[in-house]
Amino acid sequence: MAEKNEQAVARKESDKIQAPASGNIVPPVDIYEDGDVVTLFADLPGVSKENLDVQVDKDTLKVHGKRAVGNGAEGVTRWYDEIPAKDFYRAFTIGEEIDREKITATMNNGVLKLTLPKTEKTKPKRIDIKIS
Amino acid sequence: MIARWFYDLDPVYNDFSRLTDVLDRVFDVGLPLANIRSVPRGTFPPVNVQEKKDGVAIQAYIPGVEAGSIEVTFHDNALTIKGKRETAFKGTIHRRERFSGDFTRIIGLPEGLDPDKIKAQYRDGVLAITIDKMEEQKPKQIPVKIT
Repeated sequence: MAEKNEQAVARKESDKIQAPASGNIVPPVDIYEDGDVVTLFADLPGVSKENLDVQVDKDTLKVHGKRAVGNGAEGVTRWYDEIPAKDFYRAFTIGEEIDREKITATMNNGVLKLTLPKTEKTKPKRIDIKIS
Repeated sequence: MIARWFYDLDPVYNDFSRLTDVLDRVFDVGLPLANIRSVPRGTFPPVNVQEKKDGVAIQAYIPGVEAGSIEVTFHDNALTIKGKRETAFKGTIHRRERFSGDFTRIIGLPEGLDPDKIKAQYRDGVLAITIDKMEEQKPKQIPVKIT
């Protein structure tokens, strides 16, 4: 049972998927699993809803946050550049237990929240035991 | 002891060590106006700072907080950004990479900035602050007359 739950979690970064461009920023994520739903949070500061692209391709979940590039204006000296003007990109492998059709994404203050429900058949079932 | 022995005997290692020592010293002294690459991994919030003709622009990347909960102060040419971010959620934790808790970041800025001309805006998880230079610090165009 524990092993099965483990598979349901999007935990592995895929190296099979080609990133859209070289030199992306890998956003930090939190992943929680609660019963029949897996929730993923990703920090994507500066990415608006319109610039966010979440895709599921077979067993790969791709998160791509485009950022407005072009702060290299003339006459500007950069003292700190800890978040360079690059896109956010990260890919995860998700198990068969995740219901692809029911994945929802919300964006709030630069935090992406992905809700990944498990399919009906993989949900743990409660079996009532009758005492006779 | 053995390391010391190598250090003294190997001329290449010796030179290289001396170089890194010098570099370390150069970049450590400058805190908080440190080198771009010298910020330790996991520093929260990460910031970008640019100097422009008439002021400086600071972007602090603080996703997932309420705008009103961020405390920004400017004193003695140091900009302080303070706040708290809670990331806890229900369920079993499988990955926890995002920063959680109290944070303070102090950014040293050069003299000549006007403390009365600070603007701060929070949008899409980015706190954007601009501080104008004092009038006398702004570059002036001097017209050249033909005599």
